Parts: sequence; structure tokens; C-alpha cells
Amino acid sequence: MSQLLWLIPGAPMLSALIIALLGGLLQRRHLAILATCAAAIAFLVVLLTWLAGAATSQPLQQTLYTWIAVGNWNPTIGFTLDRLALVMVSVVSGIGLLIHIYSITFMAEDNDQRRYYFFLNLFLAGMLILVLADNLLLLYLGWELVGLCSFALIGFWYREPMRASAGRKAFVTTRIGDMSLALGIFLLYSQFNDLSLSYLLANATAQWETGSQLATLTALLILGGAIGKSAQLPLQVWLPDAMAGPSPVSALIHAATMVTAGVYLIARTYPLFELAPHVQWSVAAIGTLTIVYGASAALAQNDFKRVLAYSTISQVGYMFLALGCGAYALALFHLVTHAFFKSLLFLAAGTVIHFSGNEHNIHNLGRLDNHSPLVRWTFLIGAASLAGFPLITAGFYSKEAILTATWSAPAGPLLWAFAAFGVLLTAVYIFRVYFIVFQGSRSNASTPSAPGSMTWPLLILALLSLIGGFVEFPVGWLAPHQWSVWLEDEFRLTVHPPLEIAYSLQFITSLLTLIGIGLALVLVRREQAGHYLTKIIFLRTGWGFDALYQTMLIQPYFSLARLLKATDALLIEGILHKMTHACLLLASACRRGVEHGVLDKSIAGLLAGFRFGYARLSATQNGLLSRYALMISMGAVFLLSYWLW
Amino acid sequence: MIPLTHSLIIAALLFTLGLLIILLRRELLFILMGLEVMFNGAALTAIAAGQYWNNADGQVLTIFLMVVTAAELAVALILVWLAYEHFKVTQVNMLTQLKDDTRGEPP
Repeated sequence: MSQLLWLIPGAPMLSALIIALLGGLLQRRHLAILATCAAAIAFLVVLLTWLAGAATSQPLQQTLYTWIAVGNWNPTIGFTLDRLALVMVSVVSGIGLLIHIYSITFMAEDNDQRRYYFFLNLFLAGMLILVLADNLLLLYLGWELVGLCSFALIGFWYREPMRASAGRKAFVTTRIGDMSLALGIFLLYSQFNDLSLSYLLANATAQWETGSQLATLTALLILGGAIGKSAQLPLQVWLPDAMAGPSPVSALIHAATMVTAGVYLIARTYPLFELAPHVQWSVAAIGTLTIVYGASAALAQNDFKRVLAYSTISQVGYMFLALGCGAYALALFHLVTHAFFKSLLFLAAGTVIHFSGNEHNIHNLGRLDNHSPLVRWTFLIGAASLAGFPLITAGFYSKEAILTATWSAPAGPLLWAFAAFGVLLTAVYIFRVYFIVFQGSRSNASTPSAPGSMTWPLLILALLSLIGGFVEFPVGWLAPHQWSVWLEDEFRLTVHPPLEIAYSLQFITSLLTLIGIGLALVLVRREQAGHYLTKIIFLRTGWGFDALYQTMLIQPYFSLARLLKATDALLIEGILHKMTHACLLLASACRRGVEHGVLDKSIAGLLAGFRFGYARLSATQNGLLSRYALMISMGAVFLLSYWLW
Repeated sequence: MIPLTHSLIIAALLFTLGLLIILLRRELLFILMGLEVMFNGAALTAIAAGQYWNNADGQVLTIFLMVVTAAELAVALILVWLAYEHFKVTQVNMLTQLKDDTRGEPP
């Protein structure tokens, strides 16, 4: 089975190559089918590994070849499929396949499908390499590959300057995190002379003490990389603007998979974080702050997709919170359910926007009130799952588990309070959007129904958003805890608070969700009366982070550039040009002096000397035979007398 | 048995005589004759040395020398004849075509 591992990232990679090189020969429709087939192959191989028992066996391992061989450093192209990677691979390839299918219809009108499917397949390959890599170098390759594809797909409609600049913003912002991750990798290599993940983690645990400086620094650098990719505070500014890309791209890259790469990275290197308790706690703190940040900013958005973007930031915050509390299995659980319901929400939103003539404003969309019932119901399911509607949705189980696990962490009650506030806000903002967009909607004859290839992904994701949570019931319930038991070998067990506290926490958060839905109804009434939430500029601009960075970083940078330009002009004009002129004058004076005074005379003297010598020597060559003979005889006599004497 | 000294004195006289002819005479043919005289002096030395050491090598060398001289003379006579054909001179001091031209610039 492990012989087939290469096919998981290999199939999309090959298809991307074919599309890039031979795409011009294929018809548009065939491009879409080719790309979808590649995603399907990847997903089928993942299914095969499940069937072959990868879930219960030892990690599968395949080494394709040695990438670089320098001295005793031999990073390989090697894949490992353990349970953590299996979860990620299943989510990425599964959601990837659904979104490819959805794209067939969604992008059917677009003229640039070749570029779209090239980057979509390349993204899938990069993401699968990232999660399958068995060494940090290959992981970093995947990491950069998904960053590149994200940039290219955000700015997919690059002819509009806003979208192109959104792509650039995402690229530059995540670059800060990428650099931090690269530095972390360099640091690890300088300490252990190896980049293989299993070797590194085993040796770091053995050699470094808990709380040692090196461990703290390494964990901080890796955390920096994760923050950049996962859009956590303070590097979250790129994600809301990333909604400039096509909706399927937002669903795949900026909701389900790429933004959770940071969560995967921390879960993968969690022994390093356990060695640095302060850093681990700050992961939880960043996550908590981001939950409140994202949820509050999502409240005041008018753009359909921006609400979902802030919601993604906030939900990834829950995963970070879980990671920071040591509940790695639960972070992964929320990652999976979030991938289901968030891509469902994005696809539903994309369908609504697509069939309303690219209208993004929720109030305008609400006035259209002829949305298809399928979209309405699937969006409702996604929203309920996101809000964590008790008992019947996947989001409830994953979020509940995280919140309960938070209580026993250091400063747990405080973190819990913030996260629970986030739960309330989540329910408010998502149901605000639901009520505004779909409340007045009733199906009539003019209702456009979503065409075939868009329907199935919505239905499948809706189903998964409902039942995806039944693998892990909240602590204290007499129901299976499959998920945490299954991942026991990978991570240490999650610490739970005493049962009576757990029960009350679960009760409070469920209540908060219901209160939130009620609040949303009230708010929507007020908004329809003209009290728009978007008037709260602080929330609408995402706590003013963009303006802050504008004044703190971008303007000083431009000022510095202008200062340097002025200095440059001064230096070049005032000094360099004058110096050049003086040098020229000096040079011509020197040339005259040396050329006429020294060089000419000495050459003339040399020439005269040669002429003189030549004339003397020339006299001996007079053409007279007898003179030559005399010279030969004289020479012979001289030589003879010299030898004999 | 002629003593070695005598033979060598005669050979030296012949050689000097030939050399003097070459240096002093102007006629090309006489110069060739002078060359022959010098050859004979050298050949006489070889024969005398061979007799002195009871070795046939000297006589072998002389026969070889005569052959080479004959060949050389044949070539030299042709050259003299050609010089006469071209320049209509037989005097060696008229043949100064190889003289360097010092009046012009150095090559």
C-alpha cells in the first residue's frame, strides 16, 4: 500500500503539469474534467489506504528519492502517512474533489480556465505534499507552494486592481510568517544536523530541557509561521481581502485547507511546544483573542463573503485555543468539522452570489428573495453547524469538546470566558446573515436552481456538517469517544475538568448558542428599521488593523523610501557628480603629463637605441662570402683556442 | 712508415692552404677548389690516424668523405653555373644580394 503514497500528491501534480504544458490543445470542458479526475484519483488512493487499514496499522512510509545529497545531509522526497496525516489527507483530498466538481459549473463561463485549474491542482498537490512530508524541507516546499497558489488564485481576476492587490497583500503578509518558519527550520538544522521530523522531535525531547531558551525560540518561530498561514492575530489582515478570489477557491484554500496548515504544523511539531510551556500558553491566548476579534468583526460586515472570512479567522482561533491547551486531537476534530461546514457555507454563498449577478451586499441579496430552497437549507445547516446548534450538528460536538478542555489549562476559566463569548457572537453573526439574506425568500417560478455539478457538493457537505461530529461525544456522555481514542497514540490524552463542571459548561455554551440565535433575530429587526450594524466602524474595519498597519508600517516605510530617495539625489547630484568631474580633470592632466613627459620620451629613446644597435649589427651582414668565411674561421679559432687552452 | 707528425703537418698545410684560397680568391671556381683542398687535408688526417692506430675506420671515413664531396661539388657547380646564368658574374664579391639595406627603416 505504501507504494501508492506518491500518487496522492502526484496525481494533481501531474495533471497540473499537463494543463500547464498541453492545456492549449484541450477544450475548456476537458480541462475541468482532467483536473477533477486528478483530484478524484488522489481521493481514491486515500480511500484505498483507509480500506487497507492505514487507520489501525503502523504509519506508512515511502521514500521516492534523495532530493539533495550534500556531504552527510540527504533530505529525501519521502512521505509518511500516520493518523494525523491521514486525517489531513482525507479532508484535503475529499473537500478538494468536491470543490473541483463544484468548479466545473461555477467556472464554466470563465475564459481563463486553464490558469484556474492549473493553480487549483497545483494547490492540491502542494497541500498534500505539506501534510505527507516526512521532513521539514519537503514540508516547507509544500508550504510555499500553497502560498504561491493562494496568491495566484486570490488575484485570479487580476485585471481588477483591487483583486490583484489583495493577492499581493496576502502574499506579503504570509511571507512574514513563512520567513519565521524558515528561520525555525534553520535553527533546528543547526542544532540537530537533520530535518527528518521523527528524528528531530525525538531528539529535541531527549536533549532539550522543558522551558530552555532554544526550545522556546524554536517554538516561537514555528508559531510565527503558523500564525501567518492561519491568519491569526496579528497577521490576520490578509484573509478578509483574500475573498477577492472565486468562491470555490475561498472555500478550498481560505476556509477548509490552507488556513488550517498552521494548525497542522503545530499539531505535527507539538513536542516542541510542550518543551516551551510559555509559548504553548501564548498559542492559546492568541487563539482566544482571535476568536473574539474574528467574531466581533464578522458582526459588522455587509459583504457576504467577508462575514465568512472573519468567521474563518475566528474558527481557526478555536483550533489554536485547543492546541494551546494541549487538546491536539480536539483541534484536529474541529479542523475537520470546520472544513465541512465552512466550505459548505462558502459554496452556498458562492451559489447565491453567482446567480444574483455578483451581488455581494447581504442587504441587497435579501431584497432579491428568490434564492433556491436547496441553497437556503444547506446554508441553514452550515450556519447551525458553525454556531454549534446543540445535539444535531457537527460544529456543536467539536466546539463543545474544545471549550470543555480549555477549563483545565493555565488561566483556563479566563480563556473559557472569552471563547464562550465567541460562541455567542458566532451564533449572532451567522444567523444575522442568514436572516437578512434568506428570511424573506420564498421559492417561486423564477427561482434558479443550482445545476447538477453544484448540487452534489452542497448536499454531501451538508450531510457531513450534520453527522461529522458523531465520532466524538462530549466528555461525560455515555456515547463513543472514537476520535480521541483513535488518536491516542499520536498525542497525549486531553485533560478534562471534573464531570459536574463539564456538564455545566456544556449547558452554558448550548444556552449561549440559542441566546445568540435569538439576539440575531432582534438585531435583524433593528437593522431592517435602519440601525445598521455596519455603522460601528471599529468593527467593520476589523478593529482598525488595516489603518494601524497603514500608519505604523506602510507609511513609515514609504517615508523612509522617500527620505532615501532625497538623500540619494543629494549625494549623487551634490557630491558624486562633482567628484566625477574633478576626477576627469585630474585624469586628463595626468594623461598629458605622463604621455608627453614620460612615455613618449622613453619610447623614443628606446627606439633610437634599437635603431643604433640594428645599424651596427646590420654591418656584419654585408653579403660578402669571403667575409662570412673569415668570420667562421675566426670563430673556430677562438673556440679551439679556448678549449685547448 | 711515415711518422704521424709528418702526415699531420702536411694535412694542416693543405687545410690552411685551402682556407687561404677561400678567403683570398674572388673566382667562384677557385673557391670550390679551395674547399676540395681543405677536404683533402681533413681526409689525410683521417688516414694518418687510421694508420697510427692500425684501424681501418680512417680509410672507410675517407672513402665516405670522397663520395659526399663529389655530391656536394656537383650541387655547388650547378649553383655557380646558375649564378652565372642569372647575374652574369663569376666573381664572389659581386654576389651581394643578401646584403642588409641599412638606409631604409628597420623591418
